[in-house]
Amino acid sequence: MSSHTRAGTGLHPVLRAFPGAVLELAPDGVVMESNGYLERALERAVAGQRLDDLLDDASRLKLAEMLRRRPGPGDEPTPWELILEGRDTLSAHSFYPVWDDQEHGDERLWLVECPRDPRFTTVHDELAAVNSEQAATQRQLAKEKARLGRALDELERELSENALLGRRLQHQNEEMEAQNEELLAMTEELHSGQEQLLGLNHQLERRTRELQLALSARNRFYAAMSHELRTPINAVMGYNDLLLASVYGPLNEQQELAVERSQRAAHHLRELVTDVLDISKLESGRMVLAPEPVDLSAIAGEVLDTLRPVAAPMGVELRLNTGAPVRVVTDRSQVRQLIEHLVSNAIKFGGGKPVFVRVQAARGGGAQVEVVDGGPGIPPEDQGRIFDEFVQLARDENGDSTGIDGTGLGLPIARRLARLLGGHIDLSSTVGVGSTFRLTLPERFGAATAEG
Amino acid sequence: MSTAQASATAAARERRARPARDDTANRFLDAIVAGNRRQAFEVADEALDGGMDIRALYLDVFQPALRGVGRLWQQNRITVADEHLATAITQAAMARLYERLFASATGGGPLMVAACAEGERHEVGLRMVCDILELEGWDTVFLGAAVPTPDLVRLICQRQPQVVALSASIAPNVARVEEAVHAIRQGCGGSQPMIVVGGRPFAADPELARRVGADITATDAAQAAERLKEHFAQ
Repeated sequence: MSSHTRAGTGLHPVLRAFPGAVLELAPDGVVMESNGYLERALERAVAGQRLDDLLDDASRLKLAEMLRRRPGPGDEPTPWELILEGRDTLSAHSFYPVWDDQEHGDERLWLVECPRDPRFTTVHDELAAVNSEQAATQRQLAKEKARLGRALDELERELSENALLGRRLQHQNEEMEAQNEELLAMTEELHSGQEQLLGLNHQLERRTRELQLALSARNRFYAAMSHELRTPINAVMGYNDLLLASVYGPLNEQQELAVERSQRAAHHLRELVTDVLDISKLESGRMVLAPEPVDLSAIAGEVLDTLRPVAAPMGVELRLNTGAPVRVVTDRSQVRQLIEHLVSNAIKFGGGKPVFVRVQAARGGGAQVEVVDGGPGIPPEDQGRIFDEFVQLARDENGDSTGIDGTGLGLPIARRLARLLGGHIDLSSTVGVGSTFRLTLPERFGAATAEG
Repeated sequence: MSTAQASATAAARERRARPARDDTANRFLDAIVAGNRRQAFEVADEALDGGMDIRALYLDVFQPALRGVGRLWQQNRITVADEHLATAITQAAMARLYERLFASATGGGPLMVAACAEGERHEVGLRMVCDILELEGWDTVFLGAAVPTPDLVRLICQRQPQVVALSASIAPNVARVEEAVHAIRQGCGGSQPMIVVGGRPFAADPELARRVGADITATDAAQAAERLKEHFAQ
């Protein structure tokens, strides 16, 4: 490379002053001479370098083509554009290639730049920048528009969904309102039903009060009447006794018969009044009990002794069937009255047959008193109502009259007394054979009392 | 129809379509080299009306036409000014497609921020990568030419993209790319994006991408889209 001259030293002053690059190249592409323009533009050494080393790949190929090509005579000179790499830049430069082989027999390729107006470059760069910015803006706008479009679609979809939802809600609301109205109507009905019920309740309470008043009034009436009635009946019976005892002179047969009938009727009346008094006492709950240890066998014996005078005229035999004393704690006078009612009933309706009274200890504690008659018996359909007040079975069913009329209160009183004493009465009866009334009492009054 | 038959049919359709696309690419190249913007738009519109989709228009028409422009400059048949004009017309043709492109984009994919390095003016290649990925459902932010590195790092910290794409078309700008890569790596702390680089220097030297600290590179828009899709499909 020693033959190579230094940059620009051998160049004509015109070429050194040329406003563009002027290069003298050996056929191998080494820069022999440079006018210094490129050195300034690229900020690097040019003269003495291979021009290839200053070029980008594509320009190298172009330079090779320029070095290979020899223009024919009459060819129009064509500028070639090369990209030159500076220290930090790339820049395009257009060169006219001119071949010169006159000196030393060595071929030389002169590259003479066709300078560009620097304003052109500036405008060009600005245009490129504007173009780039515009494209970027357009891209951004289009992208934003697409995004907004999708958002709008989404919004519309949501809106229509909301509208649908709204309609559905409204529909549900209407349904609920209708249901509400139904409920209100039902509530009103319930209210009026409740008011009716309340009214009925008031009526019921009033009626109950009236009934209670009426009942206690009735009981007071019975009690008063029984007492007031017994006094005159006793007077009638007393005078009848005096007449029958011939205190007022002897009676003829007809008179005596009449007085006896009067006496019987009076007797029946007094019995009736006594029973009514008992019933009213039981119903009003004014019965006062005095429990004490008693022997039921002894009481049954006493009852039979009392009733024999009544039974004997009717030809009814009374038999007590008992062994050892049967002891319970109960009210003596009430249990006595109870047994008396049962035996009295058997005498009246036992068809004149013997009446058996059996007293025994009950299984599982307590005592039983059975009164057995040989009467016509009570059909099953009547067994339920025989304990009702004022019920008497038809005469012909009971056989002919014994001459003693029942009051129809004996059995009801007996049952009430049994319950009052904590016991109960069972009836077993066979039509044509007879009846058995069985009184069961607890061992101790009050211990097993369920009803009063 | 069997898979073999189907692919045979597809190949036959491709063979029939290829000359038509080549023809379209040539006519588009003629139009942009001549600086005839209206004709270039007409060629693109005809192709779309003929059933070509946007992706094919990008990869089979615009990309080969731009390569053709480079070839013509190398053959000294056009100047740098012609080349810039041709590129500008192609960008305008792409911009006309944006409404259609974004309307058909599905969205929901990864986010990519793309920028040309500081001082870099060649942006059309990176723009194509962004648009192709946008068609594939990606969300892309294209910042354009000559993006100052501090601005780029600030935006990346803000948006936290999965991918950052950088391009340089000339050797001096490779250093700018390298600076940008380092600035991003330092500025992003924990959430490091994948960095993809591209441009002529990276295509010429496959090792260059690794040397500047990038994760991957690609030689063209289709390959870049393919490699990124592969990576994010896993």
